[in-house]
Amino acid sequence: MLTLLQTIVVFLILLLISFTVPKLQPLLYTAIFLLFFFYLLMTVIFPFSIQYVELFEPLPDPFARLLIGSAILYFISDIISKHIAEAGYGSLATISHFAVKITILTLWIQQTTELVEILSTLITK
Amino acid sequence: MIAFIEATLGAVFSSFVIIIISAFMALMIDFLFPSFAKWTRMILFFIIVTVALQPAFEHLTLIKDIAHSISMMFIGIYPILAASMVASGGAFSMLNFQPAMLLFANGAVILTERFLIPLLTAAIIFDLVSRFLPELSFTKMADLIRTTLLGTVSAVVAAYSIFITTGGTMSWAMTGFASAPIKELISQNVPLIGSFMTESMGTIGRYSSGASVVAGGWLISSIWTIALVPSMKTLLTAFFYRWTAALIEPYAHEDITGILDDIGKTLFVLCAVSFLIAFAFIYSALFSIILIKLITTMK
Repeated sequence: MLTLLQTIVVFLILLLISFTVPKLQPLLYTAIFLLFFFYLLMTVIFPFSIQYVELFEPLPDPFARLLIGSAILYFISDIISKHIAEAGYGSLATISHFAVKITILTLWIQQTTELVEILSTLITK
Repeated sequence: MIAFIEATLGAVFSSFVIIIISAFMALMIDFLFPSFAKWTRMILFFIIVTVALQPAFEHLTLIKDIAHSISMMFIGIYPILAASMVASGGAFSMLNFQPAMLLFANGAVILTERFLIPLLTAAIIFDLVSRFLPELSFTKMADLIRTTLLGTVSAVVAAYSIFITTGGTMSWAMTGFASAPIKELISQNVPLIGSFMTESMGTIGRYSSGASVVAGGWLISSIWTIALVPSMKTLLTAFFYRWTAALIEPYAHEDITGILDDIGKTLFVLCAVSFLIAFAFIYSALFSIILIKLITTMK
């Protein structure tokens, strides 16, 4: 609920900026956006995800952490690349999103190897 | 008995709890990050294959190993058994032990090892593929393999019954009156292979009741237990898969419940296949026991 109020305040500030200094608006928008976004990450998203990982403690170890971590990583990257695309740099947005996707896949490599091993024991022998 | 059930089902049960919890987790993540939904499904597949399908794969390799060792054992001892059968002369004919029957019983195990179990593995892989990539669906193929296997196994069991009953010396000792309701219960309630189970149980029972005159009831029942433990374990695991699928159906992806259901079906067929091995084991064991008994008493 507090986050909603904060968002409204940020929105109002942005409107004010676009009214008073329209030339600086893209720069200030990005700065305020990133600031607000990291503030939200620190106060809301990270504590929540830690709580969430603890909730799914009984699952075998890397899975809950990996799944929630990669979902949040994907979400962050999605938002940032959308922001970049909004500013008009679409290809840069694609590159950043692609890089994060590769990072997520790298996180899962060990599990993928296990999966392939299990399936291949079925076939061989 | 309870310790046995705990030991066999503990690992299986925990992996089903894992499926249920991870389906919940995937549900919540889908709600929070809808753009990640496609990947959540993929990753849920990962969890299910690496953690939850482990029991099924273990059973498959277990039955495969048992089939392999029994067929090896048979290849080793068959010449000796045949030779001693010749040496003992007419003593065996009164017990309706045909050498052809022994050959047939163990031939079925070799068939299982070389042909049926690889086919079942193929069925599991087809199921996984068709759930994992819905556009590349092999469901009909997997179903075809399963029904073919079930048909083959039933045919082999029918051949057994013919072998045993044409001899005429074996009589149906587990009296029909007492066991009919139990048979009815099993054949109604075990999906896919229920009637097959009662039939094959009847065949083994008919067979071993003749032998129990010579070998003694307790020995027969212990051989039965040893031979049927893997089959019963497989059956229980198959039930667990289907129960879990039924439990998580309201809130999990359709693919996930479908894959559990398919694996359950395949395990039922595996259970039917393992009956063939149990047959061969019971037959060989009784054969050896009676042979030794004859040799020792004839002296």
